[in-house]
Amino acid sequence: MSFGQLPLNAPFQGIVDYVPAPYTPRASFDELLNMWVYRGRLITRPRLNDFTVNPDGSIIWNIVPFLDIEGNLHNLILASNNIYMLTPGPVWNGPLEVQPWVSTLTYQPGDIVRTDFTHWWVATATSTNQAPPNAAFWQPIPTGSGATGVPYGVNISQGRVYFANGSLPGLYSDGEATLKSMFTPGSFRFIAVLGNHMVIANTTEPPPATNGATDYPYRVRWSDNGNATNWVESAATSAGHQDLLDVPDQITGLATLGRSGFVFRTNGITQMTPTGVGASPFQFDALSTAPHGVGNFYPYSLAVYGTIAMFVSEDDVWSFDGSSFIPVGGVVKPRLFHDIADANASRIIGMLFVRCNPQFKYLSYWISIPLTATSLPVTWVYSFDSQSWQRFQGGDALRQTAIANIVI
Amino acid sequence: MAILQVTPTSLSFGNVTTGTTVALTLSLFNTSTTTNLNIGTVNSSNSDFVLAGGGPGSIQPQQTAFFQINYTASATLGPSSGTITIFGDMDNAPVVIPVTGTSVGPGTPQISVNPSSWTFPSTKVGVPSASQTFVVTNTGTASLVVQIPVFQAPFSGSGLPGGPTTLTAGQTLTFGAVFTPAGRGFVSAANGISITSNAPTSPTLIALAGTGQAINPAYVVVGGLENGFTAFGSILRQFQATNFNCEANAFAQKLIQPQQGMEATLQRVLVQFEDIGPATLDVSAQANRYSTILGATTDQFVFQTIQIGSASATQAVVNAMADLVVQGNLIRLGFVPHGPLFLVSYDPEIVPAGEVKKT
Repeated sequence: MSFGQLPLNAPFQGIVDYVPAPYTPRASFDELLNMWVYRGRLITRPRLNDFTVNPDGSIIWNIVPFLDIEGNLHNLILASNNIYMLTPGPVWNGPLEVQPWVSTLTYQPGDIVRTDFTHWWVATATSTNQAPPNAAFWQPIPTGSGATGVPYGVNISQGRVYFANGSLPGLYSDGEATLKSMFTPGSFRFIAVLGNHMVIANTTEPPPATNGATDYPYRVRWSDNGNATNWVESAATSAGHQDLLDVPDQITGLATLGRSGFVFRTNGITQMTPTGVGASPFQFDALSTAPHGVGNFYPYSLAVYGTIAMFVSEDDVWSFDGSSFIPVGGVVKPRLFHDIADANASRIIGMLFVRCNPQFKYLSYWISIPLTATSLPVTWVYSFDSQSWQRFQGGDALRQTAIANIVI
Repeated sequence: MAILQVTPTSLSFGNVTTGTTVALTLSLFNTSTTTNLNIGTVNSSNSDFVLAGGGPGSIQPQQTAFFQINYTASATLGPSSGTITIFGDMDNAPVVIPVTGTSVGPGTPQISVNPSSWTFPSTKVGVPSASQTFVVTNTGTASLVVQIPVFQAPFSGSGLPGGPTTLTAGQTLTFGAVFTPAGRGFVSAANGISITSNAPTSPTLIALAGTGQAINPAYVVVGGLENGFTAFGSILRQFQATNFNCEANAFAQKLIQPQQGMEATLQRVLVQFEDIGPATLDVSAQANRYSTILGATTDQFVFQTIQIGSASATQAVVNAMADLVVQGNLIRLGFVPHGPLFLVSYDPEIVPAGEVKKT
């Protein structure tokens, strides 16, 4: 006699623990580590080989493959201390630097230059032939990425990768050997493109480590129409900003889904709709407010792929397509949130992943949870195909910090 | 003793335009200090070369006489040669003087430019490219007068001469060309450089081309294969394409309740898997007794390592059996693969408590 309706056949359902173990669905498991549900089967995950190590030893926060405006492929690596481009070999090219100061150019406030490979400067006033460290025109800023210990806000638009991490002023890579300034009034943590404007949020103005730097965790700022490097608010531009002061929390993410933007906050979501009016290009409407709604509680858990935004609220994991919220974390909430509760909430990272390799499609949402006092770091993986959860580890005490498909 | 010493010992007239005459001179020295030397006839073996001055006569001791030899380039272009033979009473008579000359056509300057066309490497918009060197050579037989080269935008010159330059045969003139694209995309000009000269082929046109691009790309990925990569801190790790032998610990676990409130015996577990390669699988069973008063207690833990998969993997679905016997009202099954595992199904065979049937 076999148990119940045994045997237990594929398709399996991954981890389920919303009810005590004996009462979970037959095809589910109480625990899966490095075993994934793939096409209904329960499989050991593909092997990982050590490929290369960041030469400066700092954490790799983002892996950003992109095509420049000429169609050349680049692999931008955003690490804590430096920014590189990775080419076959593998070869770590860089660290990428900002452009050097040139005596014949006129600099505007917000311009970033270097005087050597360890000293970066931001312009505080318009100047020509006023070299750093002339304090009347320049202030020093942290070299490299500023090592804030958080991922970068990244947006790829028209052959450029725009980014910042709350420490550096906004920079972009267009595929050349040097980084260039976005001329943002400060730094930011989140970025998106909406209605032909570059939009940033959760800003520090002017950049951290400069005089008068002030955090604006509730601020949304947008560039001039069609110009991602003009942030000057004036009658001649449609650049502007909006402080979301109605809810006392902070902005934890930005996403563009369809024609609307969504400002994710700790305890809610604000919809940002283009108006087509130059002087007031966006309308802000509360879409969801806790406790009746949902918010992106963990700042870096938001991940967007196409028209899907995935994020972790205070009590569930959500799939959001711009109009409807689908809770997907329900079946594993006890285990998942137990792991999250053990960790530093600001260090939860959400990542969307398409395939392990060209032969192994695996559209999935990954929630990386760092090391805690009681457990090794672990990543929870939600497979869209099988709508199932499984857990992933790298075989050591290192925490997963980024995932991507790159050509190399 | 009288010796006639003739200088030079041969005559070379070089290139001579057809129909024209060139004269060269021979000096004839009487080396004797006592005796006169009498010159007799002077013959030419080739009518192109004739004696035009001097001739038979006497040369006193230690004196010199001069003969003029004319070469008239014939209508037949090309080299011509012969001998002038001097007869006389000298002891070294006859004296033979070889003569050569070449009849050439009338003189023309000829122009050659190297390279004859050029395609610049892709260049950032608004930024001058590296200068490409061009060499103008006079390959003709007359002087070549070259005017200042003229460029068509977006091409321009560098190191240009200040004015017209005269090049003798074989001489060269060097200048540079620069590409400064005004916009993105390919641009070409058949007359990128126009060189006016007195050569019959003037003007000489040099085709130039180049591609303007928005950036100067650096660190471009060329070649390579797409793969999944994941970062762990500073380490970048790569997913293997077909290797499912996970390098880290892997396991699956499931708690089952054989029958509500009743104990039962698990006597074996049938595992069905896809054969994707040799591996072992630890199948474990942990029997628990659950009491509403005492809670769950672990009674027994057993496991068996079974061989799964084969070296000649076929991906066919095959079976393996783990013989395990535990008894309880809750049984926790575990699967720990060592190697690749594609689990299709599993069947824990459970019978009423105490009833164990071994086959």
